[in-house]
Amino acid sequence: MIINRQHWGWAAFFILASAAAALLYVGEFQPERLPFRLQLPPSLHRDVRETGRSVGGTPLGLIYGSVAAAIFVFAALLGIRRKRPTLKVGRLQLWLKAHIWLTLLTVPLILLHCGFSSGSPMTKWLLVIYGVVMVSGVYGLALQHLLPRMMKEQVPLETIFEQIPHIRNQLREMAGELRKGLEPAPTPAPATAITPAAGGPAVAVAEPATTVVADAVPDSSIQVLKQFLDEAALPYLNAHRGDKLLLGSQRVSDDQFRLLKISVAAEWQSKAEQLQAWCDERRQLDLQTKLQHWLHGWLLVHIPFSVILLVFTAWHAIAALFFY
Amino acid sequence: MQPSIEKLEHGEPLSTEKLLEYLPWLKEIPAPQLKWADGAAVLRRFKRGDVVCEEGAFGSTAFYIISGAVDVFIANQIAHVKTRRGFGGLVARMKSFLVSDREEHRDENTKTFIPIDASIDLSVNNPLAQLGPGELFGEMTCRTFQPRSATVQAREDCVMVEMLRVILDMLMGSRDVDAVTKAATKVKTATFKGTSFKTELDKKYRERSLNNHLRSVPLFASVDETFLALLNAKVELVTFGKGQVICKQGDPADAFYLIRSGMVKVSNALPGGEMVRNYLGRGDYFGEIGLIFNQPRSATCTALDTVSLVKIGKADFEQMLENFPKVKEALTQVAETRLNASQKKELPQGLNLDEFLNQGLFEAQNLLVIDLDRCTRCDLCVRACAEAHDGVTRLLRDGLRYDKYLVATTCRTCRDPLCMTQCPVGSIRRKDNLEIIIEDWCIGCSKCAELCPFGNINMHPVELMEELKVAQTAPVAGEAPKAPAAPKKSFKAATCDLCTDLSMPSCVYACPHDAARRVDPTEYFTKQFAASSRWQPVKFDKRTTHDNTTQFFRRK
Repeated sequence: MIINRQHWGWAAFFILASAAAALLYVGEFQPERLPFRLQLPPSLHRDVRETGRSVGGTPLGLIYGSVAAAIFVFAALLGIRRKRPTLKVGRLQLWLKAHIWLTLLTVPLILLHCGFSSGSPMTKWLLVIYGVVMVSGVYGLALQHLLPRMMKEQVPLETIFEQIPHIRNQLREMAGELRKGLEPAPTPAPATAITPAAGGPAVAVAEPATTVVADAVPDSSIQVLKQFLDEAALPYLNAHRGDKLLLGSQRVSDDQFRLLKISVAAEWQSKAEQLQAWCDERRQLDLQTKLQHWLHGWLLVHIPFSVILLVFTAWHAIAALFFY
Repeated sequence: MQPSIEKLEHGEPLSTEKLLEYLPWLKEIPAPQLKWADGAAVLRRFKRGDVVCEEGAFGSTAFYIISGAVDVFIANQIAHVKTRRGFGGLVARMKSFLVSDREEHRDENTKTFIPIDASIDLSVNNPLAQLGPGELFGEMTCRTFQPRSATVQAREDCVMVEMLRVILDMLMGSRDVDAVTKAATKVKTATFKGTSFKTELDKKYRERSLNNHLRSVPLFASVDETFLALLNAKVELVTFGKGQVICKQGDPADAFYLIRSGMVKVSNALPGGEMVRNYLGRGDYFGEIGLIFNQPRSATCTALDTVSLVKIGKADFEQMLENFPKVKEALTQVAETRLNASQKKELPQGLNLDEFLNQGLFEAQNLLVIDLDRCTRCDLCVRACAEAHDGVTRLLRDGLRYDKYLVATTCRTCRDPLCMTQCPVGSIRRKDNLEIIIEDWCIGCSKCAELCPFGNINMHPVELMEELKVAQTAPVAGEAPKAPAAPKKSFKAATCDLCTDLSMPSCVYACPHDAARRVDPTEYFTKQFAASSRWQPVKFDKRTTHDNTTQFFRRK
């Protein structure tokens, strides 16, 4: 999702909510830092150093923690919401906006909840997991700003992702056909002369077969094309990872094809151009695959860590509420 | 299914003498021209229950009944594909159903008769009729290779002449060859003046069918029998050849027309070229705007093929409006809607018109565009469409690009709806608001799907219901209905329905990135590009759209 002007409302909410949370925090735990007019009633003041409790254990700290946990649960529901895109519970767009801004709001909430202290080993781990989830989420958001545009500009032949293997096969087959077409056509079956054997039945006598048409004089252009197909184009089109081969690089490919076009006669130029178009398409499909993986790959970190975060949060809540 | 063009595969070949015996009107044809009839007709004998032709099948011949009678009916279910929510509240899935108009009345579905390729119409409620000796059917299939519009089954033992177009042209007159074909082929094609057969057919039509035909137009439903009889005597039956202009934009309005057979193209002249508004078929009418508002013709109407029309003169029309205020009221309403629709269209401002026109975007009036800068290729739009339509998506996230937008493969509700031009039963039509709708009596011939230049119409498989099969197997009078045959798969055309049951199209609703939008392309892109500094109003070249009809010129 692209963060643009439409997000002003959410951004304002985020800033105001963070400021309010911070104000409450300072007002409750460090009232002397606030101007007189903004100070909270003295009954609400708490000095955690005196009680020996952590900030998270105070009512305000618990509220911060609970709100953050509720946001975690809501954020996790997005996964279920995406499975049923037509569900009449608000547009997915709204869900995603809420997912982004509310989870961002958890940053100040968690910091205030833990009182800027990492606490016990368990909460340390919890913070690490939370950090991974947030960083991966922000990273994914950044990718969503960059990669769609990149894909639009660099992959003009973009196709449906699931169709890519099929199109690759087609390209491979077309190149294979081109290679076959360069082989000399076999001679038609030799005429069999029926010669009656003396006193016996007629016997078919075949002329010795030749495999090459007599007028198929070896053409250097054909040889060059064949060699190029065998050594560069076909291995590239057949390869699982084309980017490791020479034609996988746009610059090298352009050079190679320029050289090929110089080496073949004018009537073979169109074949060379066709082959270049196939290789270019293959390169674009590879790039699309790569970009698609980047575009969605971050979810492989984000989702499992989000689940772990939910489990750890639940554990933390139970442990904190019932055992301390 | 491929059309069997100009072929007579069955039947007894008829010599010219025999042919003249069965079709004596051909004697009026000069002998040198009559030689064209050699091998162009066969005699067909059908036993009771034999199927003469099946709806949706391709063909190239017309039939003239010599003896016996046939049943004409539509076997496909009279219902439309509808997607709606099943039981289960929030978690319910969308399901596709076949719904008849009686169960779910669609506002603008006011037709009570199904136009078919014969001199009669079928009732929507009971699509079954009979034809007897001296009747002709299959004329449009023969002339334009349209699929058969109905199933014809012998009610009793029948004898018919099956003929190719050349004989039909001899009988009815004309042989339409457009200028381009004429120039390209350099083959002389005979033009026939027609015979008294046409006059007889017109007479029969006037006697037997015209009143029903007039009555089948909802507007004339309230007119009393006396006036209808008066009108019957006064109306003119006129025929126009392919490409002939019936009325021209700007000309004085002198008549109202009701289409008896054939297709009429309604278009407007715009500064850059011609803009197609609509295609009208049998049972439709035109020419009322000029007469009601007393103004010149607001559009040009051209015959797409041989068109037969019922022409009601200005004086009779005005008398009718005077005598029947209800008709006037209804006609005025339709005229106003049509006039408003025709005035909506304006040339886009400031766009890159080259691509805009080449991709046929100017023709679209409701486009699904995906902003490729925002789209993360998550395919939720496609999944939502599938979920909303019984697991079968009506949307492909693939297609041409226009600037940063992907024009997705789904119905564009084109202004020039080519999909409508060859429907044999006129079931695909556009509402007055230009939205395309497929009527209940779609016979599933898939002609519209073939004609859609963007591949946006799907054929939806449906199982023919048992009770319907029994009812629609055209039982012979006095006999018990035949036992139903094995379940048969039938098809109905379906296209993007814009999820009219929902508040917005599912694809748009489901897009989490605000990338998918349903828009009027001209308005949307004009706005987008006006707001963007990258885009400057371009000078544009002479251009044609995909169907080579609309032309635009470089701005001076």
